[in-house]
Amino acid sequence: MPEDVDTPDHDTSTPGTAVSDTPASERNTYRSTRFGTGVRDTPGGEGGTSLSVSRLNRTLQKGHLQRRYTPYRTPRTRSMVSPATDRTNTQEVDAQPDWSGLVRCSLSVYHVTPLYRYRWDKAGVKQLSGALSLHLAQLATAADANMYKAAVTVKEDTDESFALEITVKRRDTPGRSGSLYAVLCNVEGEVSQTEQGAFSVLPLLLMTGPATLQNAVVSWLEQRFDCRVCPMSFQSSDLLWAMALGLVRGNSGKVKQQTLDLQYDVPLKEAGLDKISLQIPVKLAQALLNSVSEDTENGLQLDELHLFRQALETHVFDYFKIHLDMMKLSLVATPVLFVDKVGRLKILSVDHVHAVLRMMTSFALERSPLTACLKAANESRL
Amino acid sequence: MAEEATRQLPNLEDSLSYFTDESASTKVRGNIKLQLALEGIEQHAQNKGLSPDTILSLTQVITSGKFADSTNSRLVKCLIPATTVPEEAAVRAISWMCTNKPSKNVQALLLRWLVLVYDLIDGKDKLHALYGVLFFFIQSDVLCPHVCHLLYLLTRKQDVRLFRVRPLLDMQTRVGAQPHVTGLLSLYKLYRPELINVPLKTHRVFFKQTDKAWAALIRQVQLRNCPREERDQWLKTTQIPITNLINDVDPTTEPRAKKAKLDCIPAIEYSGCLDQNTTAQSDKVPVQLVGSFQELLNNLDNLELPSQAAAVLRSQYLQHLVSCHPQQHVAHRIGYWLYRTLHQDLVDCPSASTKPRVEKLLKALINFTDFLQEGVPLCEMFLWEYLFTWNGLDHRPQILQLITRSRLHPFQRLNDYVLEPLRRLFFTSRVHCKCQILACLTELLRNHVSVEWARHQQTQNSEEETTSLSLFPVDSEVFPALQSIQELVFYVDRLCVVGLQQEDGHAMLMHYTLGFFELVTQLQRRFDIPLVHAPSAPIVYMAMFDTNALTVARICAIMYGFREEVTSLKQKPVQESYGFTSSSIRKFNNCILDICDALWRCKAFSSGKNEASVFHVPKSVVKQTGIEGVGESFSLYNHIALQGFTHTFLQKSLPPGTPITPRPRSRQSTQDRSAYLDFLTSQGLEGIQGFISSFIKVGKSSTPSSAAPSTASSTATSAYST
Repeated sequence: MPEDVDTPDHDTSTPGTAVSDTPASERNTYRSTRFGTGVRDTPGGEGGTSLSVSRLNRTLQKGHLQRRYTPYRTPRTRSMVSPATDRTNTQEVDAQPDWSGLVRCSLSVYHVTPLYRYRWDKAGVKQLSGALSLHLAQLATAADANMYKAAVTVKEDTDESFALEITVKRRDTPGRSGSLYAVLCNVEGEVSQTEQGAFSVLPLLLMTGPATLQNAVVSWLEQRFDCRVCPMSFQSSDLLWAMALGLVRGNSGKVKQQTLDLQYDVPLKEAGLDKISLQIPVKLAQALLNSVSEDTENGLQLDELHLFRQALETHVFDYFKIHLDMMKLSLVATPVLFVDKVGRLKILSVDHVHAVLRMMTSFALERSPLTACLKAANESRL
Repeated sequence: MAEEATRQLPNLEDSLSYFTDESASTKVRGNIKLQLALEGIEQHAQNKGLSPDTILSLTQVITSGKFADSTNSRLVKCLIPATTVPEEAAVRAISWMCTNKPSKNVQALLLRWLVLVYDLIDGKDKLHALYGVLFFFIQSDVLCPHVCHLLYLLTRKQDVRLFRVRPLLDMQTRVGAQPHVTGLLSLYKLYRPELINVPLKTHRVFFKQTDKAWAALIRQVQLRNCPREERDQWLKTTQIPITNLINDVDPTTEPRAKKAKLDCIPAIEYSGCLDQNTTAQSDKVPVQLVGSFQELLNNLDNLELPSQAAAVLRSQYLQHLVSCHPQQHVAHRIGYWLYRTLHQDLVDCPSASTKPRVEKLLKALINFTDFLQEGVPLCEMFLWEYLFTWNGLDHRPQILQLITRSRLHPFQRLNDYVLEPLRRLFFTSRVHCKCQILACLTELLRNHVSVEWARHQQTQNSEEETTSLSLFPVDSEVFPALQSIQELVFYVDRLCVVGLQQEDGHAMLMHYTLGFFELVTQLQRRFDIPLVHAPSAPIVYMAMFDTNALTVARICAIMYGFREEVTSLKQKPVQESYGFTSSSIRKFNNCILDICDALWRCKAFSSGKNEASVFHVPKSVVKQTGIEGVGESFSLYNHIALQGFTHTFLQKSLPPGTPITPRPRSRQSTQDRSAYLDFLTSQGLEGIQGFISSFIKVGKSSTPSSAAPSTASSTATSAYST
């Protein structure tokens, strides 16, 4: 495992990757070619105002002004632990509500725009159960109109944040088969749900169950709360962060899976080869991560993650001559969680549900434009 | 023959008196008097219609039950109103139906009549009070379709009650889904969706039009009796309702696509349980029931917003509502929805299959923003993200049009988010796309100066937030907006210069460039923005030496307009202004002098030129060309773009037989030249005459060569010396 990597810079390679938003940032990057190889821009360089024809066709070109704004809001650094409650696993288990319903099942991840006219009191929530049952009955055919039993409950947390739990059960079959379980939550997001007014912010929706039921619940949420629910897809950088979370948190000896699995999409699907998977013992991966980062728990940098990835890929290239850096990461499996690019998530240990939800919430919030405009909306509440 | 018949028939009064006469025989068979009276009434009704009083007395006759069913049926058919139907008559008819004395046929006939003349009944409150009574008739199979139709017309929100929904649903399960019952139920569902949980079939037409001939007759009689001006109005508003109102929501929108997938804008639906206090909402009207602009005006305060705010994109009427009652939360709901939907379909998972529906959505959005005259801020944020990854091909017309609705931003931000991606596209694509981008930037500037500038000024000046100019929240960010506009103009100017060079002065690109500057030369006078900007020299010269006469004329008009701008700005009280520096004026004056030299003075390459002049060419080089009278080569007569016009002009003006060639300059008279200028103006090239008349003072002497030069330069410099 190559541990000292001397190329300090790996590109932010996929759409949606981080480009810092701060004006003072010296790391403005342009994503330009179709392979996603960007070139770092040097600040204060030829900020020339000339527009000359000869330079036009270059893929990388500076504007006549130094770029200061980019439309991406992805942070360059994340903390793997929550600032307050999340210090140790034991405390976390005490403080958090019971998330066992989310563990060890294949969850589909959705993100949700702010919910309009959501009533938090008991009567409001009770009404929701009725409304959902009714919606499901309307969608069903006359024969099995009463097949589903829907329940919407509020999961209250200690510090005034709460999640909405949706359970839809089939009447004819006992147990979990054919039923749906969904959680709508906002776990320590930047925009807290208590800033609500006309709107409440529950940006993350996790669902498990048959696809038709999922669609029905999504359409009900959209109609009931005038919001938009979209399936979330993960970019390479998101997957890298999830992997880091798995590595940092997965160091307790209890876990069964002891490997880190990475899967890459092959750009040209030839000769039956469409993906390449990579399996690394967790211990080694953790050691590598620790060697590239100063503080893995609190201030892990995106650059450090890229360094990590590059180290792995160089290693693979040395042995197998495979250019993994030209491919997109599509799946990550760690002792703690399993994520793939189309938005499927599996949480493997109940101890880490909170941390995973926290990261997913921040992913979801990064995809929604509300940080700026939400306050104005609430101030103007009728 | 017809006249004879009328002569034999008794007139209306006589006929009526027969029926009102107590002693008259009610026998049908062999009763000639009865027949004649009936025919008399029929004749009159079909020609002129019956007055309200006559209708009332005839209803009394019918409801007295004196005459046989056949007579009554014929009488009902005669009830063709000339103007209106008294409510009393309608109430009487229903009361009589309740006695169960008349046969089912007559009852049905009366109901059909009520449906037909419903819009002409002069008051509906008493009739509406009988709603519950009418509702009982749905039990009868014969009457049910007509009663349903009448109820459909009468229903108000407070009529929709659970105890009425239940029998209708029972009936539906008993005899299957009948269109008329479904029609009534879907209206109920529209008002109170929480009462009806079952999905309803959609029929194309809920209520069959059974009495087409009768309806046409009523319509004709009404038209005949209406005064002309009322008639037009009437034709527009009053129609005997036959179609399914619910299914065609908005006459302005195209019919809904068959596949729901093609259409991602949410349907206009109301979920009653959303309302926290249902009593207060009970008088709200769903927009589906609004059929005309007049009705919209009447109900503007009572219209109900659909439960999904983005559905306003569907209906023009709802857009009126939203813009008349701006509510922040509605604006945010629309914004969130649009942002997310566009992002999902264009950035997150773009695919070929979603293209048609995205295009439809974008078009609806453009209509919406055009209607509001403002962009949706969250859409702008979406655009910023999308432009970053845009391939420049997908939905190009729509995307460019959305860009034009951009808000005022500090130039740096506008540049980084919008102009930079556009610039990359501009220089990597063909001339057609360049023109599209230039048109987009022109419209962007127009939007900034005509709409956004005023909005910005208002937010800056007023202390508390005013929403009168904007539906969506406005950032009260403080930045030099004028400077931002100026930099935009400057930016497009340079873009044009390089673009024209790259495309070798392509005519179409030149057209759009000039279009942009035609807008720029109106900023001060038309939009009251203290900003002047002259096109930079390369553009002026390129246009000046173009082979297209219109281009030459237009650049002259632009130069002339710029001078007007400066003079009008000078007359204003001193205020902060941009683009008005001495160096820019000097450059501009050089351009003017060169144009004057070339067009008018025929001294294009004469010696002693200013260094800044485009004609500053060493004499030896000019000599080497070996062209005689090279100075005249760009004159009004010899300019390559104008030669065709010169030829036509000379053909007309010179005596026949003389060779068609312009006289040398020394022998041209002022009259000749002004005639030529008039000719050019008549050909649509008025810019040239405007330019000459404003920059050159033509002396009184017949040879202008001595007078013109000094005046040209002095006019130019005196106008612009600061």
